[in-house]
Amino acid sequence: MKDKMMNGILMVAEKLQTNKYMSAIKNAFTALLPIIITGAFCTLISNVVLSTSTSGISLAKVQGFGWLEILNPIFTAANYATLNFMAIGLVILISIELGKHYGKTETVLPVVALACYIALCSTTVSGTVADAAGNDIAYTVVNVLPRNFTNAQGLFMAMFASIIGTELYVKIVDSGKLDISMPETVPANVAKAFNVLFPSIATIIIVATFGFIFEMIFGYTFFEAIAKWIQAPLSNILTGLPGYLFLFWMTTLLWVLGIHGTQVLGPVYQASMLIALDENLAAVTLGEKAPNILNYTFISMFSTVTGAGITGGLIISILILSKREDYKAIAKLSVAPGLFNINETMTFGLPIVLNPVLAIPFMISPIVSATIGYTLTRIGFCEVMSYNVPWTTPPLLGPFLATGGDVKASIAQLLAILASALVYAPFVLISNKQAEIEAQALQQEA
Amino acid sequence: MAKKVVKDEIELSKEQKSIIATRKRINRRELESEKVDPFSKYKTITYIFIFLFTPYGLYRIWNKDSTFKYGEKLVYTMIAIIYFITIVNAIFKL
Repeated sequence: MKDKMMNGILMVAEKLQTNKYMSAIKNAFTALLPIIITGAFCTLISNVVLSTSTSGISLAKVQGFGWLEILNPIFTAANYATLNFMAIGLVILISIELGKHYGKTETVLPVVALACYIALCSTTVSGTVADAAGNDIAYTVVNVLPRNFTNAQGLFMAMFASIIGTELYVKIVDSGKLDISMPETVPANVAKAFNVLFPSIATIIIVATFGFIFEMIFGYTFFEAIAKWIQAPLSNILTGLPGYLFLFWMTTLLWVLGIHGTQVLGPVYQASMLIALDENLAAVTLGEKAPNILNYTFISMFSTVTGAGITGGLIISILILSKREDYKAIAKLSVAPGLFNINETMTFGLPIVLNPVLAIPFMISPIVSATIGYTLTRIGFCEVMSYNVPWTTPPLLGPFLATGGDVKASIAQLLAILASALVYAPFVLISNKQAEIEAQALQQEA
Repeated sequence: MAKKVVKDEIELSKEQKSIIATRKRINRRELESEKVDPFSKYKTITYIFIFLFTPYGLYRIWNKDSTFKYGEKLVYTMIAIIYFITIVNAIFKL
């Protein structure tokens, strides 16, 4: 019965991992990671080191360091070039990854996907601005691409537009109906360019027409529809505590079965969590309260701190309570990588994988830790995480940076790690007992 | 004389064999050509140069020994150009 269930779960995980769309999205996000980290790093430096106007702590606000503000444009420009164009990068990368799956490596494919994406964006911005007398004056700016289409807010639409554009292009090319036969005297590269001409035109026009008809029928754009009907519900599930806890329980379940759970389920939650973090950053920049407690940074600070399963707590429990020399040796080896949130030595060394005794606390600890982090943030003990901090940032330092300098966030993380140590403690004692029984059995056999 | 302990061989069930095979497939190493490694030494140095000295960063992205894949080349070129334009705009307040 247990084997049947395990086999079933692994089949689903394999289907998720080998699904061409999930695979393309996962590879695209992996390639985008340096951009996300660079943008996050620059936002952090800009706000926590170089800014004299931030409401949080900043080195530039210390007397004698005001000159640091001169360097702010460099990091602001880097932040702008990275985080505000993430969606464009995603469109290009997904189209290439998906094209590879179909054996289509034409250089025009990402351009077609990008054209499809922009064809679905609104290029007009309207609003009101107050004049000197306080009267609202309406304005309309045409032929611009608003930021909400190119930054994290546009990630979902980027995924849809890229996939739809690529699939359409591939189907049209494979049908061969729009091929142009060129005479043999025409150079190969010119013939190739003409071969992709009509499929490219057809793809872009079909997508643009779809966007136009959609807006005519429903009264709002395709972008607004995705934001309302897909992005918002998914975000509500994932940024709500029950949905978040369930998702990260699934990742630990996959880990227990020997699979990199965060990688397999990453495509499911990454976009929503990045959008939530982006909203927090926008709010904090305007001096408002960050709205989303559960976001991309919260995952690394409370759900995967010291590694999946909060194995830092297990290391503490083993060093204090364990009588097994093998466990103690692996725990000591795991301290250094654990400080950078890497725990493969624990998961595969102890092992935790397929170990029924340690699997239970491995799955419970992140739930306990995330609940502690969420509750302490909710009651106002610590600030909401608003800055993207690399997942390898050591414990206690990470929350401090992620909240723009709130020491209480580090205390909250410490409490979460200690709580996970308490969760692991009884199971470490059980494993002591297990080792004693095995030793006795061996003695009797001898 | 010590007794030799012969362990009985355990026959794996159909589900257990399927579990082992599925796990091997899921955890298989991707082919080098398919693997996306965004933090290789070459790429990390290139990212730094994109922001420190953009023309050299662009050279590293596009030179024939570059380890960037085609998609990465496009995206990082876009980032480099936007950064360069923004920083020039900010410095010279155009």
